[in-house]
Amino acid sequence: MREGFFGLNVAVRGLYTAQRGLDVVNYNLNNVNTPGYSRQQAIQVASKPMPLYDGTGMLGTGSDVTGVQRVRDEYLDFKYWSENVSYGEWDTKRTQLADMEATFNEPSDSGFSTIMNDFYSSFQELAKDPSSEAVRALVREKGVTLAKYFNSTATHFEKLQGDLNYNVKTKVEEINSLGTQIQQLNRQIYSAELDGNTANDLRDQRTVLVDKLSKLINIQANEVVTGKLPSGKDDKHFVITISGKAFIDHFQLSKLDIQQRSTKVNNEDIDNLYDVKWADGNTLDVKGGELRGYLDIRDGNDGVNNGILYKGVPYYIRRMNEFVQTFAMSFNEGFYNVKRLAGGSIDSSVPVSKGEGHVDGYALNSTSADTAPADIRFFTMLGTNSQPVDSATFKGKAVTLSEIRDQYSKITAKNFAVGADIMSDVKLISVSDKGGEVGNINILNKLIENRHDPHMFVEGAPEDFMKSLVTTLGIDSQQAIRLSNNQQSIVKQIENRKLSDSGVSIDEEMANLVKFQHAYNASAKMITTMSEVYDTLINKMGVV
Amino acid sequence: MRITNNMLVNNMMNNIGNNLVRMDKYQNQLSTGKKIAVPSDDPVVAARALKLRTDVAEVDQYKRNSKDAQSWMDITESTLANIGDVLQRARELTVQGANGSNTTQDTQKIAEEVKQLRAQLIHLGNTTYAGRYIFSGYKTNTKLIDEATGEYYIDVNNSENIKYEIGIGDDININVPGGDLFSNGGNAAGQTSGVTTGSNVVLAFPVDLSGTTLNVKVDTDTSRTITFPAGSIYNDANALAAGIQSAINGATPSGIEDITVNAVKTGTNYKFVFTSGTKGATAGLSAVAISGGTAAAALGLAAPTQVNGTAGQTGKLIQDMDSVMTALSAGDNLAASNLIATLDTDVNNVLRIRADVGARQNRIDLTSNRLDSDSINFTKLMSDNEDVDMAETIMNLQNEENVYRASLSGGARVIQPNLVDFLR
Repeated sequence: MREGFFGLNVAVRGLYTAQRGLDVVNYNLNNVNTPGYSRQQAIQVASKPMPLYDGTGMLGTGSDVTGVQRVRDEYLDFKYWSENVSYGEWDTKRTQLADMEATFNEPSDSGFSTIMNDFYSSFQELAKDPSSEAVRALVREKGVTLAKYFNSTATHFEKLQGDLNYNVKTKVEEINSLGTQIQQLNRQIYSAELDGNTANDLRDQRTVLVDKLSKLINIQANEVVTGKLPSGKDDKHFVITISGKAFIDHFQLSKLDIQQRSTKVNNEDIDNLYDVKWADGNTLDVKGGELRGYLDIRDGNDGVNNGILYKGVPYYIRRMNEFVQTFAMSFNEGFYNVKRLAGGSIDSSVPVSKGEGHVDGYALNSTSADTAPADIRFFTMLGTNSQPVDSATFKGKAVTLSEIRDQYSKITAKNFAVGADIMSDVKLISVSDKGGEVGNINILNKLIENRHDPHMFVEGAPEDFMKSLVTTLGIDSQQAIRLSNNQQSIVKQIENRKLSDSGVSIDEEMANLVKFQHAYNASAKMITTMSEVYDTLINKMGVV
Repeated sequence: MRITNNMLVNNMMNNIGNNLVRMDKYQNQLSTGKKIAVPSDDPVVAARALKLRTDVAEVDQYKRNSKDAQSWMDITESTLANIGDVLQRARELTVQGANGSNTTQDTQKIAEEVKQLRAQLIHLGNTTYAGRYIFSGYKTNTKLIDEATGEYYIDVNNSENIKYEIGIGDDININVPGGDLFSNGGNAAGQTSGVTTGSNVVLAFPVDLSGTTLNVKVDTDTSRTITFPAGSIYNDANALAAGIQSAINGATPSGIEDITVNAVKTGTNYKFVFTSGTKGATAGLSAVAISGGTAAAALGLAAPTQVNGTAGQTGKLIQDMDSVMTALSAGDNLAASNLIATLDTDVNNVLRIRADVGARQNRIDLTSNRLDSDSINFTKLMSDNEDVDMAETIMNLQNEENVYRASLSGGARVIQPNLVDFLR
């Protein structure tokens, strides 16, 4: 014997289930292009069956939707975060190094090697006609071009460092802003899930934010189970740590902060660079992400004084300073084999060896009565008001060779200049080794020989030094491009797997749409059938 | 694997993006003609490119140097040829004059011609190239021989070799020092000027000499008193020296207008150096005495040290011409005859130098040829290193374009249709 309207009830459940299914399809189709959206599924189960008392078995009572679930492989998220950090770092380095490469402008017709070629060519021309003031003026102009090349390159590098510093600040602010948003989402998710629900869409939003954060800085994100909720589910707290210290712990946010340095880390640095710290004052070790990329390029000095072991802006400025100091010293004074300490400063403990340089030359306006060389330094540096200082001022009170050598530590790529004496009088370009001999180019020959002096730098002659500097930058830049490309394909691959797993497939949803529509239609038909059955039972049965 | 619509779109965009990157690379290569634009494209090629550019630039410079050396040597060579001709003619005339049948009147006429030859020889000794005296050693701004006396005007040491660099560490001596030529391999010793050096004084600029006086005397000549005019205010040492110089040279009576005054700075002190030139009162080669006058002490000239100048030597070639002239003027056939052998030595000396110059010219020619082929080689290496192979690159670009078109067409097919299109 069967219960009254059992069939109608089952059919109604079928209608409801199909409707819920259609709702989910509808929702999925709506969000097909929503970033970070995971497709959802209605969890459909057969409802509790009813045992038949005559021992003929159990009778199904219909179907139920017990929940709506998002399809998400959380392992892929963890993997994405751990790879994205490295992508962020190398992509930043790639962009910045490309900028630095453009600054050196090599190989081209206006880079260092061309300028150096022109400089020495002008000396060759002077060798052939040392008394010509026109050629002397040419030599001076080529010298100025050489000096200006270093001035402008160094200025550009300093500007770059300033820009990088600004970027560091921006990135820290971005990290804090993401942290605040994640913290708020944590609150919403936690309260939404207290009753045992799953806050699918809020979790998707949070994952998108963590994805962004993972590109900026090295993070470790986890859901930590801290106990049981009244509903019986696990009490989960979402925690993000940076280098071991909690950035977000459930509802707590510990922000990052920037602080202006009171003392420079590298002598070459511009003023007021930012240090990244925790807002509570603890030090922070940034191990990856875009922030690390910016810090490495801004501060990288190749490991000098326990600095960052990367060749960034300070490294290149330091090497250029080293170049102009050594080159000017060799050119002006004839010093060679100048030993340098790690960090680029001149090793004062090594005695100076002196050959012949520009100071040993006699000027064009010298006379045979002159017994001492002109003592003019071709290259000096910019002093107050950005005017080049003259040779005597540059030499100052220095008397001994080592004192003179120490004066050269004051020259930097940024203040490198042709001396004021030569700027005001080209006759003071001193190429003769005896007074009053206008055709004598013995000193000039020494100056030209300098160009091929393989002992001037550890890397060799002046051009070898700059060549090696440019090549080093090229190799670093190439490495950054490769690593960034590799990381990019890894990240893209994971993104694809995430899309494969959680993305909405229109075809699938359409199929589901049809499926649920048919199920709905079938249940409706069932109601009609049941209605007819009851019609027969109630109205027609027994009527004769 | 489950494929979703957004995956298709993402993958297609990625691939098309990669295609475009590659097309951009080949496009850049074609439009610049270079394999690399920045060192990171290929650091090895970049390093070699820098080196080869320098090499090419240097070789070009050496080529220019060897051309300039060549023209200097050409002038030297033709001057030497002329000197040889002059000496030959002098020898012929001497042979003619040595003939005992000549009367003194005849030989005196010959002597006249020898005199002209001597003048020609001095003129040749003062030959210039682009305004520079070629036989004056390092003192290319000064003539070698004084036309009036035939004496050397300046010192020229035989070691004063002007060298042009025609290769790395390869330089060539392009000049012939005057002594070698005119003194058969000896050094030339020229006139020296009288130099008077003041003592060190501290000067506070501006220095006002208006109305002060200075007593100047050259050797035993009459002493002159110079009075500086009003407004003689000088702002630096060079202007002061120039002021003193113009005051001295304008002194009356005239005769000492060739004195040069230089200020020499030692530390914070100055001293003044007075040099007499050739127009000095007594042959110009004597001491300049400057003392007395109100300005003297302030300028450190109270008791200056005097150095006397000396006359120059006469070169052997000129001496021999003089001897021939003397012998012929006196009609001394025997002496003239004896001088023939001397002139032969002189001719041989010039020939020796010409042979040397010829050998050097030869070397420049060889170097020049080598530099030409170096230039071609290095340029070729540079091109091999950094220039693109146009045919290959165009082919690659074409290839990429095909791939690009294929991926666009494939992508358009795959992202458009879905089940919606077929559900009715």
